[in-house]
Amino acid sequence: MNLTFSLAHLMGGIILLCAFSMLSQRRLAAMITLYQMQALLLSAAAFWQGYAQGEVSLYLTGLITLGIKGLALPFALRQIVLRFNMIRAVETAMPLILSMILGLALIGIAVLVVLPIAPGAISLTREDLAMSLSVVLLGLLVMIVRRSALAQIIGFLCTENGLVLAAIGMPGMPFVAEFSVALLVLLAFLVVGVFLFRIREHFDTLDLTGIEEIERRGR
Amino acid sequence: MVGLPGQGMHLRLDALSALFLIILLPQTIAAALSGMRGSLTFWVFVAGMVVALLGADAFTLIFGFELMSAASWLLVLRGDAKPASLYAGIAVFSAACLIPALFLPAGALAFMLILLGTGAKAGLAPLHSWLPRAHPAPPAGVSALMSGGMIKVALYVLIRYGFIVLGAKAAPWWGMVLIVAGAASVLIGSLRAMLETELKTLLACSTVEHAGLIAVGLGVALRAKAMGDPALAALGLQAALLCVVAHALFKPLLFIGAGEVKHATGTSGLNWLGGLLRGMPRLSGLMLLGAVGMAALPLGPGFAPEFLLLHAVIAAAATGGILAHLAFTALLAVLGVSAALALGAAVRLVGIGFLGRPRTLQAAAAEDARPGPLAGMALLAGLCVPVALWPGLVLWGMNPVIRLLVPGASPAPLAYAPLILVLLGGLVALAAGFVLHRFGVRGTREVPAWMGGFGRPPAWLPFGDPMTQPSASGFAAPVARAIGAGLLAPGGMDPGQAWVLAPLQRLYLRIVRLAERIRRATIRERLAFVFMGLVLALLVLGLGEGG
Amino acid sequence: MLGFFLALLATLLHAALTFAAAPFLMGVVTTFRARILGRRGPPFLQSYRHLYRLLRKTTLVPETATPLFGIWPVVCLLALGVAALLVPGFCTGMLTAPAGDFITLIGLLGLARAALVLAGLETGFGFGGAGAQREMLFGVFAEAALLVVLLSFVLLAHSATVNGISVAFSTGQIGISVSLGFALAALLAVALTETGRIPADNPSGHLELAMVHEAMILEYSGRYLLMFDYAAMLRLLVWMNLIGAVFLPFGMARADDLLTWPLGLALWLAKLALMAVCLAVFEISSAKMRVFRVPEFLGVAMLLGMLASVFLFVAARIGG
Repeated sequence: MNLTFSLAHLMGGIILLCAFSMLSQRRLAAMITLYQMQALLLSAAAFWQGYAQGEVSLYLTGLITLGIKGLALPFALRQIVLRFNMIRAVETAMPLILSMILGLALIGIAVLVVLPIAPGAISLTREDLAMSLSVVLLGLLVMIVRRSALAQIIGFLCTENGLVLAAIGMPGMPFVAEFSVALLVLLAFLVVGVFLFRIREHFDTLDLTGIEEIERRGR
Repeated sequence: MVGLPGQGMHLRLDALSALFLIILLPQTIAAALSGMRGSLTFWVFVAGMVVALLGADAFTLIFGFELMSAASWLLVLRGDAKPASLYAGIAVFSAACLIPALFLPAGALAFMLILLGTGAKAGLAPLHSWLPRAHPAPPAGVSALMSGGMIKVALYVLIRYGFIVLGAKAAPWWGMVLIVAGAASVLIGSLRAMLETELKTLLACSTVEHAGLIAVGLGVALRAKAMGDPALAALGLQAALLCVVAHALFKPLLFIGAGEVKHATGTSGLNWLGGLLRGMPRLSGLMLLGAVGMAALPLGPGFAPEFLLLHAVIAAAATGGILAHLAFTALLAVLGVSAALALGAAVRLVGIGFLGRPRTLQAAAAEDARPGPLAGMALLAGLCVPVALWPGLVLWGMNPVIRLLVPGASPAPLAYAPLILVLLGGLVALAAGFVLHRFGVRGTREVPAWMGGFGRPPAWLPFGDPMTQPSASGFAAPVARAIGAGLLAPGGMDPGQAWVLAPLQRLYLRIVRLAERIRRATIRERLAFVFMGLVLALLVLGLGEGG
Repeated sequence: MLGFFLALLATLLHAALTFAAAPFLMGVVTTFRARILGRRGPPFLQSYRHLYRLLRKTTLVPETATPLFGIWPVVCLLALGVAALLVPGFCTGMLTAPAGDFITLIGLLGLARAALVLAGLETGFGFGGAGAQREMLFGVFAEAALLVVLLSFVLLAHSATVNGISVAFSTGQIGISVSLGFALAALLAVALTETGRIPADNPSGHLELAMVHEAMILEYSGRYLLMFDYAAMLRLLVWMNLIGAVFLPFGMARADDLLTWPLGLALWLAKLALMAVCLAVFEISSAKMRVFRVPEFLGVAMLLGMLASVFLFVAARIGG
């Protein structure tokens, strides 16, 4: 078993573990920390793949990941948490254990989908692909089971991390794609940030239950 | 001789029926000793079980089985009329499934009907919720034999048909169905055993759990046999059969003990007992042994079957596709949760009922059990010891049965060696004893309990205020909140009761109302019914002819 | 013959070291914790002094206790003592190895737990009952998580004894596997709960409403308390040995090869020290959970164990 693959997969596994633990967290601060860990690991994984594949563009990916997602975004998110005083925020839409069982089921589905795709490929590639898909699905699940807008943003970012994880694992993925994805995320983050402040101005809270209520009345 | 005209009754003794007859013997003696000696119905009940086990043809088997059902129904009826009608309903349902199944050609339909019929009788989910209500109703000796013997006879029929009669047609999914039913019973049985506060109901719930454990073992074996893996099939069977043997020893023991507790204190609600160890030392010692078996603790009779079962499930997880793998992983989690819940139930039984302070005057004044039941319990406890310490020997004795059920299997020796554990424990005890004896201060001094710093209770409460003690329901409260809320139906009802029996009952009521309406109809309406029937028949005839 | 003799010697050495080092390990964790918090902390040998003090004290028995009052500490101690003999420490291939099946080990831990809970219910006082019911609740999830994790180990190592798993993992055939990462996380969560460390229980806490293990033995004193305290120390060592044997098996000595012993012993001590430091750091950096958060914590562990088993299948290391 060669070390390149082993280490890459271990990192992938821990990234998945971070996504899974994100589901189990109630506090936004812990979610942000987990997101940061995930992003840092992702950049480490990118560097490692760049070294292993000899691709300079992967180093660049790693740098972008480290800078934007590993440092800038968590910092910004923490600022928002501080400014809105949401340190102790506890908001889940369903019991935690249920959402985690759903998460496990999603991972099972990801595995089921990936297994037949690459029967010829070596087992580790399958594992890698399954993990990326799982991270994407878990991120989407986080967006669904959380009420707070901020937690939904974190879920979205987690989804994006999963995409990048898939991209760096596959040799020959053009750098442009990743760059555009990263840029997209940044833009989306800015838009949502502005949006958040607007919500806050109008409703005095980031809990989307109020908006849902208004929607229901409107119908 | 009774029997089908011109054919008579055929009896036969092979290894499988011999095993079940052997496990029936000690509990029958114990039940007879506990005061059922003089009851004719009891002996008919026993005779029914023996005939069912010995029957060589389908008619004899079903004759014995129904004799057993009818006699046990009479015995339940004597204890309590309400669960008796429920019990009769289940028995009729079971017969309605079994009788056609025995005469159907071998195939999936026959097996499913047999599974339904025997499963209803053995208390497998989802048809289990009658068991915790009906088993505690009759006198303790009968409860003991119903839990320890009757369940086993039902499982015997399942084994005989699943492995021998229909064995050639078996498909892997039969095993999966059995495993799912077993896993559900294990989970619900152990959870309810943890939550119930009535002693005999608690034991009956634990019986549901053990029936489930046996079913899981049988399911793994059936699946492995159908997939052509005799080694795994043998392992699963070893687990199931050893569980049959162990459960047939410790469960009657516990039931008879519960009956004696009720006899001595007038109640069997755990919330009204406590501190029985002082008044009933011998009974309590025997109950403790039974509880060790029920909790499946090492060095107890219940551990070796659990050990084998877990190994069988782990080995089964390596066979089949990813869905089977996931299912077996989940099964392992279910078994782990249930094992811990069973431990909790046993600990609660001992800790709340026999340790601590008495909660009522009756519990404080309890005197030790009568000699008859005590002798029966001692017999069962004495037989528990070899099963607990030499399970390998018992398994060796079962080899013919396993070869009969899975031809070509060579059962592996047991990897769990209780005697080595005893030896190691003895060495540790020697060392610890030496240190304590050589360096320690000897002797103990009796003092008022610290009780968290509260003062001595007043003189009219010699054992302190019972309200300051944790109660049985309080002990189970965290589990009820964390698990019970998710698994049980609203209001803490058994899911089998809420989602199977209650809808059936509503359906039954509706049909009865309809029938009543028809019965009350006027002549004109009745004529209209007949006329409509005629028209419909003509219509069908016409359409059939035309099409 | 020589092999048998060496194995016997290794077993005896393991037993002596385990039983002697258990209080030391507990002392090391306590002291490290205090040092990291900026306090001076008790000396490393404080645990021995504590045990000796208990040995010299009169044993008090409450009036409301039943005759079995003195049995539970003995059962608890013996169960954990046997468990300590079964789990390999510095070397693999001890005489007790074939008996050290993982499920037997789980059973022994369950036996110790049952004795502790019964001790809590013995005198029938409120704190004991509160501790006992919480312990029972934690046990339900811990056992399930442990079994699920065990599934991955057995399927990877093709052996169900701790010794066999350790040998299989130390050969390096397995490599770094994602499944094992998940399994490690799950096992750590179970270990923290079972040994009564911080997210589930506070070992140094004496606030009655918050404690679990301590609450059950409040009525015990003298040599009975000594047995319970020593058993708690043994439990910590058993778990560390277990995690060391499964996840850090490199450099473990072989019982039949005398030359590997010194390195094995040194590495064993180093691993224990490392784990003690990790435990201390983890404990000071996290807060105790509410009682009803612990089942969630262990539920996550159980799901992680299942995840490990799923990825085992993906990696196609089993069944193909």
